[in-house]
Amino acid sequence: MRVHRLEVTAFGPFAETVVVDGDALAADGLFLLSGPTGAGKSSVLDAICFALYGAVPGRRNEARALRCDRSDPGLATRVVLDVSLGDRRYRFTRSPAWERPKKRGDGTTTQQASASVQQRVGETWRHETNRLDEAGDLVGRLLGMTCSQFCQVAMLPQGEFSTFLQARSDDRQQVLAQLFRTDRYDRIAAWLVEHRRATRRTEEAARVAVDAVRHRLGEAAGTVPGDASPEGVLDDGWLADLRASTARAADVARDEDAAAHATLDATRAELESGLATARAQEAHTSARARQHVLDAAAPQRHREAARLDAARRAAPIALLDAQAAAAEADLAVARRRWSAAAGRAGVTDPDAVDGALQECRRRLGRLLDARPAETELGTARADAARAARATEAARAALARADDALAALPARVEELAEEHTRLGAVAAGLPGLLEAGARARDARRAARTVVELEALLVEATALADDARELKHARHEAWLAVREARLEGIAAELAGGLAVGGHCPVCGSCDHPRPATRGADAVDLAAERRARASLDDAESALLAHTDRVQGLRVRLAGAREGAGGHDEAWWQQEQERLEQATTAATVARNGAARALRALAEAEGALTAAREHRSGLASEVAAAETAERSARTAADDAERRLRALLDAAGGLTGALEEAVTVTGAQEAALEAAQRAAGELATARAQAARSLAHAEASAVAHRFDDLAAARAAVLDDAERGRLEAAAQAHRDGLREVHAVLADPVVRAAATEDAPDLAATRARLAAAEAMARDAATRAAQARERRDRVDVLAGQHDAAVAAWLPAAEAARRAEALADLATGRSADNRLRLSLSAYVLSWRLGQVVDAANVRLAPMTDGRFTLLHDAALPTRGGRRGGLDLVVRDEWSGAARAPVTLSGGETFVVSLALALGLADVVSQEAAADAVGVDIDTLFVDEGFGSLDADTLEDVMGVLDDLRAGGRVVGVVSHVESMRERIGRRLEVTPGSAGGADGDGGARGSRVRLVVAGA
Amino acid sequence: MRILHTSDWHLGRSLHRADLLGHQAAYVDHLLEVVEAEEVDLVVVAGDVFDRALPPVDAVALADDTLARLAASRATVVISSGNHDSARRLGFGSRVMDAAGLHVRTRPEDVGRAVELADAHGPVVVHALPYLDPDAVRGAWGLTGRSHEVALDAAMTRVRADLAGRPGARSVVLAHAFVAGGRPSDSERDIAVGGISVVPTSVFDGVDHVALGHLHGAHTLTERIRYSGSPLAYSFSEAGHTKGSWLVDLAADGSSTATFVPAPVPRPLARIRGDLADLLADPDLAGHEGSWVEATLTDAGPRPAGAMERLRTRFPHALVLAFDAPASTGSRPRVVRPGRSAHDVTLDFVADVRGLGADDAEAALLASACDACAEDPTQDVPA
Repeated sequence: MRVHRLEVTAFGPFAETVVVDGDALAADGLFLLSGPTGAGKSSVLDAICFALYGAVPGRRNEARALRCDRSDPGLATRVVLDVSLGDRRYRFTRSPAWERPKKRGDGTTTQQASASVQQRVGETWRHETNRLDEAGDLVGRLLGMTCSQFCQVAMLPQGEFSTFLQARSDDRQQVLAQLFRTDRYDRIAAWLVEHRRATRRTEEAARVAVDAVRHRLGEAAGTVPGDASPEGVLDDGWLADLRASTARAADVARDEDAAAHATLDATRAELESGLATARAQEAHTSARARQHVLDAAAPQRHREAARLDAARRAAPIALLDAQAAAAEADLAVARRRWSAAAGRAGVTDPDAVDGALQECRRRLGRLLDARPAETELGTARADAARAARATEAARAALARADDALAALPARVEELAEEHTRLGAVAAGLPGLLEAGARARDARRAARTVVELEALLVEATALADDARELKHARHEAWLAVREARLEGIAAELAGGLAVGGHCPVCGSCDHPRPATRGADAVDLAAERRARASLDDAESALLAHTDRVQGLRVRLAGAREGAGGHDEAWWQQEQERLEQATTAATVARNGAARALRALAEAEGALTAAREHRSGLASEVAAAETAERSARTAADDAERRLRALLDAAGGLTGALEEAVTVTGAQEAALEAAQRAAGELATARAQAARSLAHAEASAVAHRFDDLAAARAAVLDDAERGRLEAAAQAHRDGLREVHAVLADPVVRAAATEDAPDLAATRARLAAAEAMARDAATRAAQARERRDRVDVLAGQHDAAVAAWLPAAEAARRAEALADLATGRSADNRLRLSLSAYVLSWRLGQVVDAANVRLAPMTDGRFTLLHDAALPTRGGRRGGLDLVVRDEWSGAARAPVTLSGGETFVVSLALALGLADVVSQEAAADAVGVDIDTLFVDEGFGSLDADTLEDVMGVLDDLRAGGRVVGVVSHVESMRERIGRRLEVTPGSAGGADGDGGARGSRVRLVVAGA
Repeated sequence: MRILHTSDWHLGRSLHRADLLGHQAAYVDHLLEVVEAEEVDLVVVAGDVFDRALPPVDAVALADDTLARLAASRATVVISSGNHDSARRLGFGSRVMDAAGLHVRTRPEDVGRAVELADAHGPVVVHALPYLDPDAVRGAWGLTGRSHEVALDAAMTRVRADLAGRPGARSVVLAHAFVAGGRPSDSERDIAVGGISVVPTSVFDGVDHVALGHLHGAHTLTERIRYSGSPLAYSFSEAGHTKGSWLVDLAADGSSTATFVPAPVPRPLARIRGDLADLLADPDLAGHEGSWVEATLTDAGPRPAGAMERLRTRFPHALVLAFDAPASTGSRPRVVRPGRSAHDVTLDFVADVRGLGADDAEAALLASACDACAEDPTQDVPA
């Protein structure tokens, strides 16, 4: 971590903004923050710590009073730190929570703590986060330390530099574990434990498999296996013996089986030859017997052959015979048909049918001619009836119209009378309206009269008053005028000027001008009196005018009222209104009556016209009726003529037509039936003759004989089969008897088959047993072989698993420190920590030796008993080389503690920077801050410490120290001088209120 | 002109906490004796008069006494400040002291202002260059580089400018620097700036004699350029040095011959080594019983108890105790070199705690464990 720039605003003792150039300060590798007490030296380090972690080191963090008291209320407390962490450059900007004056109104409001982190990328600053928690997380990861660890390792705060040295083992463990990232080793140990678990499971499974196979082997072999152990299982002879024995048993059984089967085959062969001989002998005997039978049946067969021959000859004749029979049947059918048709037609003789048919046809024609005439007749009769009905209807209408007409004229007259009456009444309406209007006006005038009279009285009174006033005023004015005239001399005298002419005598000398009297009246008073008189006069005039006016109006109103009062006119008005209403009603009624009258006259005229129309209709209808009747008579006459020509008629024409038609049809049918009869007869005769002739041609005596010779198919088939069987049988017998085997067997004795069979049965039983045994033995042997293979495979799987489990267990126990082999009783992470601490202690001792003249050495001993007896303690002790005794660090003096703490911090930083290159830790701690502590050293020790710090510069490390010790000021070339501001605020001399910083280089 | 060249008195310094002021006072007495005895004309002290910028009071008293006696002696004294001195404090009253024949040069502004002396042969000009901090003079003189060489170059330029105005004068230059060819001991303070502290001898060309200070051993770099070294041994690395001062005769032509005048050794330094029992018993070490002793014990096994106590029974002035073999307590984990990988660490762990190294199969298992627990990605810092 390298500080490049620090900007502090309103923080600690810095009231305004101060800027620290970190690069310039650290150019020499060693710099000093110096200044008087309370100037703010530690505050610069606090600011750096605050910018990174948001907290200040040590106890000051509890007070949380970071803001400068003397800064402007509105100036925000802020720290901006440009720092390089590793090879990245960051800018941290932090503000604590502070009370800010409200922008509007009085009082303060709390501005929350804020943080901002930016990273330099190329030439620009890239914003990383604005959140407090993310910023804290980022810093923790970049530096690899929490705030408290940072303040133990990289920034040794005032009074607390020995925290790490005197820490308890656990706290030190945390710091080291965090710095050196030993959690990786915890994870490795955990992984090994997990691995042990897994391998153990695998081994267990494999062992179970092996045991299972062994049990199955035991079952297959019928023996009990011993339990397997990894060592013994491989050279256990039990399995080999088992396999050998089963193999042997299988072989023996197989041999027995083969022997039994051989015996069986031999017996079977013997039996078969015996059976063959017996069969041949039997065949011979049966063949002989059959031959005798066949010979006996031979004559019968001859006879049957002759019959077959005759049947063959008679077959075609049978056909012809059948045809003749069919023709006979047809003839009978035709005869029956003829009798039926003749019966229907009413003839008996087939020859007469034709003549009857012709006759019938002629009659039918004539009847058909008469049909239209009948139709005409029907039509004409219908017309006549219709015309008669029409005439009746017209007459009835005419009668009705006459009735209606009778009533109308009387109504017309009635309506005309009403109209006239009402019209008279309505005529008086306009006059009434006018009178009503006049009455209204007169009424109003009468009302006005009353009003005006009242006003007139009032106005007259006012006019009288005004007259009196005017008289009074007139008197007054006259009095005033009198008075003035009496005092005119004084007035004139008042108007005299010295040296001016007297208007009366013209003298310029005015020895004794008249003086005004006490009640003298001047022109102004007179004028005022005159004015008031004029006013009164004009008022009087006004009133008089008004009275006059009123009188005129009153006269007019009275005239308008016509001498009556309002009440009278009101009655009059009411009366006129009633009359008007009546007249209006009458007018409306007259109008209605006029309309009705017009209607009634119209109706009368229409009814008359209607009646005349109806009369003419009646006449026309009568004429039509007469003509229709005439037509009907003519049609009847025509019809009668035709019917007579057709030979008279009894009944309806249609019926006759139908009967005649039917008769015609029957006669036609009879004609056809006669023809068919003749044909059928001829056909039957021909067929019979033909059949007779054919029978003779085929060597029969006659047709009857031929018929008799016919055989049906079934009979014929039977006879033929019998003949064939006979022939076949003869053939077979000859064949058998010719067979040499048979002939040979006929000469031998009969074999003893029963005994042979018995032997065969026994042999079969034995063979079966042997086969079964052989199969069982083979099966067992195969199974044992398979199981043996499985056993070997299972063992092959088990042994390595056991090996791996053992190894995993050993390592896991070792790594967790619980193994009996672990001499140091250290777990892996404790070992690593112990090793790291050892590294740190070694590096610290390198620094400590020059500072203490080689007298003190830091020691770390893992076997030292810790509090609580835990393994792997991280305790530190300091050994005095001169006495060889080890002391706990708390027993050191102040100065010794400081020197040892400083050496430890330097050693830790050395190891961290070493390991940073190997990437085992996070970030190089290449800047150290030491706040005070040098004051506890004597001059010689201080020299030695300064020598060590000088050496650090060569290693590229930067060490910043805060001290007030004067000799350090002399000694260290680069200083940041912190000077306090002038107390009490600005007193006009330009002094800043807060502390200031100044970079000073080397003895200038 | 006879010049006594001394430097690096370091008044007030202690040797490993042992007070040396008495010995330094003894040297001052010796110095003044030599001045009288050898008829020294000029005493030059080339820096590091005090050991600290704020020396203790008795050191100041001793210096005061010394200067008074030197001023009263027949010699002129030129003193320049070194890197241990506070230039300002040492230069207190220097302008006034000039009149008394005591020339103290501590300010960079005075570089180039000579002390003009003369002897029978002519003028001798002494330029005393104080210790020049490169950072301090860089701004004032407008130097471009930041190193002792650049600073001294600029100073010598001024000196030469002054000498150019004095043709025929012999010149002596005092300087306090680390000049190439000299060997440092353990007691000098490191003055490296930017890692470099060495100055080549060519810087001092054109000067008749250069009296150097800073290194505590007496070195002759060239015929003209010498270190006088400290009058006392200030660290055990100087146990073999012969301490003293140079007596330089500056001839008329500027050449010089120098004789080394050894200083008295109030108490010698000795470095002994061996087992504690041997050291206590060895008769050959009897000669060191009165010396300042630095003992290196080679005892194997645990540290001997009360080693210093016992050592001091024989060597009461034993100052430093060192141990050759690191203490082993038998149960401490074996130190492992840094930069090992996690897998190597686990192998070491197995070997250490079990006493038996891991075989191949175990090593393979550990390797897979380490690979499975590779760096936690949540630990990474986002780019």
